[in-house]
Amino acid sequence: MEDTFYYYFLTCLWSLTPIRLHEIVDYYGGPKEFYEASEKDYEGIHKKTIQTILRTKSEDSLLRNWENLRRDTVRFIPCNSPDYPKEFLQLPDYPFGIYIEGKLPHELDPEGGRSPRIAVVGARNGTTYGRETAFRYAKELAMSGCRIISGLASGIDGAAHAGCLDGQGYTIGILGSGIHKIYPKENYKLYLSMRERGGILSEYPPDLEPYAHLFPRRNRLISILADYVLVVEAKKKSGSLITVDYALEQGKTVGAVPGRPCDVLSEGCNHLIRQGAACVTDACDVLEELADNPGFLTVRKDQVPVNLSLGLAQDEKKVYSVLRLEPQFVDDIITAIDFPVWKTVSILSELEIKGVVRQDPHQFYYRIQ
Amino acid sequence: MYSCVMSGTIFGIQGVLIQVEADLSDGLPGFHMVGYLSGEVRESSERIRTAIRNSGFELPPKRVVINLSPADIRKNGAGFDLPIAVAMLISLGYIPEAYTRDILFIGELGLNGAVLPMNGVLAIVDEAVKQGYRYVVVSTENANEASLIPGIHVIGVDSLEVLVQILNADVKITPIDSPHVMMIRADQSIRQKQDTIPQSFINFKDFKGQPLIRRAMEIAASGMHNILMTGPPGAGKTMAAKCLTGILPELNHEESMEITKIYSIRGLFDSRQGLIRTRPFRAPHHTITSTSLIGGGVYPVPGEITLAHHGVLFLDELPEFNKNVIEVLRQPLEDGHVVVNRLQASYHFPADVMLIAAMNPCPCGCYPDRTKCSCSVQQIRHYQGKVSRAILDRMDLMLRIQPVKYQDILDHKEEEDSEVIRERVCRVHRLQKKRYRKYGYYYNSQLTMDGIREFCVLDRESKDYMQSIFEKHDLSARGYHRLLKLARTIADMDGEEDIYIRHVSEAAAYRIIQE
Repeated sequence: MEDTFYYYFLTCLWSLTPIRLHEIVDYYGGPKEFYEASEKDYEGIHKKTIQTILRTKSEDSLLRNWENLRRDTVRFIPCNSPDYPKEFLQLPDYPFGIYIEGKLPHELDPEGGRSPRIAVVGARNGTTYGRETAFRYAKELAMSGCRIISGLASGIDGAAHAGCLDGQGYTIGILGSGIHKIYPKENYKLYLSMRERGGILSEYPPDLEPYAHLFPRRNRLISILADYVLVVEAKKKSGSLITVDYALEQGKTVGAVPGRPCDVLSEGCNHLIRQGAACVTDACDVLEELADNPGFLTVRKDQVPVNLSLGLAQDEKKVYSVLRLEPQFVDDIITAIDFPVWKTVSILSELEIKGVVRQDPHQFYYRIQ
Repeated sequence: MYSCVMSGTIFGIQGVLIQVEADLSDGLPGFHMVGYLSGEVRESSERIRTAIRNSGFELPPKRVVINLSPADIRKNGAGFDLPIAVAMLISLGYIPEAYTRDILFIGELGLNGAVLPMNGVLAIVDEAVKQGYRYVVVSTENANEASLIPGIHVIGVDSLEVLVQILNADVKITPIDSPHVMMIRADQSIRQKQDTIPQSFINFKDFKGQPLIRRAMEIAASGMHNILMTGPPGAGKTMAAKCLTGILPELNHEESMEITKIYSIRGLFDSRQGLIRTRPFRAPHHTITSTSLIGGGVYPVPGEITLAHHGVLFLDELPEFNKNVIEVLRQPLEDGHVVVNRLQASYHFPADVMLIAAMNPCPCGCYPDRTKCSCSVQQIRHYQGKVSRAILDRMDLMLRIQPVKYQDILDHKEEEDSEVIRERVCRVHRLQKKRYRKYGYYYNSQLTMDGIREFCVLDRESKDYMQSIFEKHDLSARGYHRLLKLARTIADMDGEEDIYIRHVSEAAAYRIIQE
């Protein structure tokens, strides 16, 4: 059996916490020795853990999936491979192997330099405003040469990936499930384009279904891979704050987009700022922070698009000036302007085609900054 | 002795004339009925014999054979009691045969000889007039209804005994003056006496605020477009739908007759009010079955969608309807009629309705107001997913509706009266009817492919604009054509011959829902 197989076997023991697994493997002196140990060798290990190990070892699917992996588009990289991201090895509980589709960020970096990587994280049920913000910041950062890392969840994560792709940048999503079980399903389209133009990474076997308790664990990979963690919208008790905790432990810079004090979805961000996180109100704030680091490839600040005049007609300007960044019901817009209903409605519709106004949900309009 | 009289029955929503033959002969006494009869017609033999005896006529012990022809139409309903009794009485010599020619008999009998009313008289009488019959005998309760059809003399009687009395004189010459008879001559048709019926809609005057809905309702009424309203409970969805019937133009005579016939068949019609003039508004509950929605049954009868013909079918709480109930609407909404197939025949029921549907945006109803709604994204998606794409695609206007604000309720600002809006809608309806008079349809929403090509012409500028909409929103072919039809209506309201950008863009704001 080749060496990689033993690392593959270790990833199949996903039900054990990584730190525990490391302890056990260290005890036996290596993956190969651990795999080849017989039942009576497993002394001093908890009974349940032994059962899990033996069951995984004896399953037919273990070898079958190993065989399938050779034909798969998914690459398996064990932790002893030179391709394995060096950053992960700083973790006490680094994954024994990772599954990757597309490219890893360091594979794209030229010799002797690297592009800054920014993790953009936030609430799954973020507001429209939050998603737009994540999209815009990710796009602008991507255009300045940054790479965007996130968790391919719904809400802020998805918007950040989409924004990066829109800015022709590279983005990698780190999953909490197997690569073939994209969760949530609504991001499948995003997954398809990220596979082509970015990367998808998971520490779990490709066919593993999503389990809620595995998701927080992958946050340590998001933060370790990034140089900067940006929180866009988060509740007080949020998974994004787990990422922040990891990031602080790992010595990364954390920034947060401030919100109104009364907003539940901004409580987490405002709390972070109070504790000393950078207050980010513009993509340039992030770039400036990174500019001090000599190790990075120069970021192109001038690439950030400046909002010039939108070239709107008189009446269009009038309607546009009433719109806000949060969605507003069309009736309120109609009442705010003294145009006949048809005029306001058709102007809104034209502005939407021009791409300066959007609806979410239907007939709730907001402007894009 | 042989005798025969005419009667009629209902086939789908169509009246069909039936010849009733009776033959009395010597032999073993008995009563036989033939002619493809359903259970309730077969049962009538006991009723008829008892009614004849109780009306004071003697029934000798003879062999009686009754035949209803044509034999290939299934006869159902109790309306054959009267003609069978009359045919037997002719054979027995109580009524001179010569006097009953040219007369149609419809009615059920009680055991005491009373003539009882039945459903669907209007359709049968209409068919009789077309075939040249000049007199019809019905129960007194049905007399008004029968007289709604011009060109026929109606004789309403309340018992078999009275009928025999008046048939012994030639009713066609002698006028009768009796409290038991209600004679309405063809020239006294009840139709002329009717005034407009009191209406039970809500006036738009009382509908405060919500400018988008007001505008959209007027557009929908002008082109008879379908609407889907989404909004939280209590936002005014039902009220908006009720307001809508008030701004629709009155029915013309043909439409009126068509609807009255349908209501008569279903027994939902009050003849004292004359023909139905207002457009129907049907709001079936969401527990309705697919059969009662589109029509059906062993002897197919029209369903709710046909009862809403030329009017409004309002489906409140759309996602709560059984999924297959909503899906059966697909074909009728496209074609404007329902076909119910049975082994013997297929029945065509008209179903040219304007569909108004209302739904909540999520299980709790408050989305997108996240301060009130705590439904998960999956829940919202699941709830909205109960309405299929196919049905959404058939909706021309998709509207959000939000609760009225307190200021709007307090505000004493005069809102437009329904009557004023209706005037404008009528103008647009006239315009469409004039434009489409050669094409067999009335409204923009009914435009065919050829019609769209001919009447929905875009200038260069709006063509380019349409292209950018098409690409941006990834429209389907159906979506594109529906958008054009809606733009046509908006242009008509604007009094424009051509469709301009402002019309297309307004239509797009209502028509297109993106993911």
